[in-house]
Amino acid sequence: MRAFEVIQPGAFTTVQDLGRYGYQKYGVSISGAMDRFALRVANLLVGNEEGEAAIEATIIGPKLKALSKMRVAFTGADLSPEIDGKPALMWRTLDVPEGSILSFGPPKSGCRAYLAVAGGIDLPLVMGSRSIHTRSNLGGNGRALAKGDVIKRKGSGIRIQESGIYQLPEDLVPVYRRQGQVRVVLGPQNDYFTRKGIETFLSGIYEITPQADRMGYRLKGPKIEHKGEADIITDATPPGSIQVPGDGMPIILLADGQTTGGYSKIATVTSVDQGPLAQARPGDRVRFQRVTITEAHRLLGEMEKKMERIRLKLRK
Amino acid sequence: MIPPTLPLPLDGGGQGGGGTRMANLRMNGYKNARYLIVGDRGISVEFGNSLDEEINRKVHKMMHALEKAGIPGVIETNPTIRSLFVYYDPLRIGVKKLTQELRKIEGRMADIALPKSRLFEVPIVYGGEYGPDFEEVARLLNLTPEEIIGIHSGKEYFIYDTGFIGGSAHFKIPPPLDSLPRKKTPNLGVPAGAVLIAGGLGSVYKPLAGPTGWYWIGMSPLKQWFPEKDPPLLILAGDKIIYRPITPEEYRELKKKVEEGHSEPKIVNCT
Repeated sequence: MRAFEVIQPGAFTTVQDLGRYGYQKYGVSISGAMDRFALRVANLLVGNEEGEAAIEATIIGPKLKALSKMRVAFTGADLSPEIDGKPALMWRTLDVPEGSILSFGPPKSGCRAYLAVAGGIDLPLVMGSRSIHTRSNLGGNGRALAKGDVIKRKGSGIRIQESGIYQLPEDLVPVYRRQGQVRVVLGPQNDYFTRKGIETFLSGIYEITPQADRMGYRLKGPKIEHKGEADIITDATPPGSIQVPGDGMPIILLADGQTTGGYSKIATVTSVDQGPLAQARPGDRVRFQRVTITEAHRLLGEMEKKMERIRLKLRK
Repeated sequence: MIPPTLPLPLDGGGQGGGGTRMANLRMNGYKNARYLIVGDRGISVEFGNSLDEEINRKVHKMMHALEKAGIPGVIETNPTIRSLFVYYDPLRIGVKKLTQELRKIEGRMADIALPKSRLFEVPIVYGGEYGPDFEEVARLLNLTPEEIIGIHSGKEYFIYDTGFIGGSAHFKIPPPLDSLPRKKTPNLGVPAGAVLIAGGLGSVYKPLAGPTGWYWIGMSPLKQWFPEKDPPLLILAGDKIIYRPITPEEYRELKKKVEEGHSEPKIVNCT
C-alpha cells in the first residue's frame, strides 16, 4: 500500500529499522535507527512490532504527502512536525487522512526524528533488514530519500482498528540536552594510552564537530595522549567504538560505522547512551563518564524494564 | 573467576597492559588469548599482535567452533586479522558465561578444522589511469614499474580479513612494498575494482567506490560485492589470491563480461 510521496527530502532522510545483523564479518555495517528507543516507541504508538522500519529525519525534516489514510507517530528529536501546516503532537498516536501534508519546521531539540506508520514502511528486506545504508548502497534505492520517491507501507494490519490513541507519559519522554554525560566502558585498547591520556579523556569537555553523521562523530577537545603508537592491527569497530588517531581527537563510530578500523580504541559508549548521543548535533558538548561492564549491563536492564512498562501501557 | 568490577581487559592487562601483551608474546601469537571487553555487547578474543597466518587461523577456528556451538545470546562474530570479535546480547548471556564458553573452545583449538581455502586468479592492469598512484609508488621505493609488477603479481597471498565497508579483502604485502605508509591526502573518488596498498597490507580490489587513504596502483575487472547473495562477497577470509597482469584491452573485455554476469572468476586451486 502506498504511504507517502516525498515532496521535499529534507537534509538526510532514510528508512531505518533495528539493523542488519550477521554480516559484520563481510564488511556490512549494522545500521538501523541511530536512536533505537525513539524508533521502538514510535512503532508501539502505531500498533507495530518495535522493530518495524520507520522514517528517520535529520535536523531538517522532509515534506511528505500522505497517499492513503494512515495512523502515524512522531518521536525522537523535536523538529517541529506539522500536519497540514498545524503543529503535530509528538510521542502520540495520530490519524491522518489521505492527501495530508506531513512536514517539519525549525529543529528545536535533538537531531533525529522518527515517523512511524501503522504496518511499517515496506522496503524489500536486504540481509534481514530494511535499513538504508548509503555508503554500501543497501536498502531501498541505496540512497537517502529524494524528491518524488514513493514509499510504501505494509498492509493495514488488524491491531490498528483495535488500538486506541496513545500518548507517551511526559516522564518517559526523553529530554535532549546540548551538553551531557556519555557513559563509556574503557577498552579494548585503553592500554595504548598513558594514565594522563585516560584522565584527559574522562575529564575533558569534547565538542561535536560538523563532521558528524550516521557513520560517526568527530570530536574536538583536549588532546588524548598515547603511550606510543596510535595505530593497531586493524580489528572490529562495533557501534559506540571511540577511536583515537594520532592527533589525539576522538572519533565515535555509530550505527553506519565501518566494521573494522586501525586506530586504537580508548573506550566504547554504553548501549543505553548511544541513542541519546545520536541526538546530539554539531556544536553540542559531551563529557565521558567511566562505568564498569556490570554497571553498563545493569543500565541496559533498566532500559528494557522501561520499555516493558511502555509496552504494557500502550497495549492494554 | 573474573571480579565483576574489574574494568578490563578480562585478563587483567587493562591499565598499562602493554607489558602483559609483551610477556605473553610468542612466535605465533600469545600463549593464551586475551579476552578484551568491547563495550557492553562485545568481547574481542585477541590471539596475537602481528600479521601472521597461524594467528589468523586461530581466529577462524574459534569462529567456526562458536558458530557450530550455537550458544544462545551470541548474535554474530567478526573475524579480523588477529582477533575474533564476538557480538552478544547481554540480556541473554552474561559476559562471564560467554568468556567461559570461549575459553572452552580455546582449549580445543587443535581439533578444529577449517574449510578449504580457494585460490582465485585476479586479473589486474597496473598504472596509468588504472593506477594513478603507481608511478609515485615506484618513485618512493626507487623501483622500476616492471620491478613492482614483478613483486606484486604472480605470488599467492593469504586473505586475512574482509572488513571496512563492503568486505575489502586484505593480505600481507611483501617487502619492500610493505614500507609504504598511508597517503597523507586520501584519494576521494576511487572506483570499485581499485587495487590498493598501504601500511603493510594489500587490498585485493575495492568492493565499492569511495575514498581511500591507500595507494591506488591498478584495477581489476572482478567484482567483490554481491549484496543479493549469501555470503555477499566473492573472496572470503582464508582464501588465497594471485594477481595476473593483463592489458587494458583484456580488462575492458573482462569488465564487460563481468558486468553482464557472463564471467565466473577463475578458481585456480582448492586446498
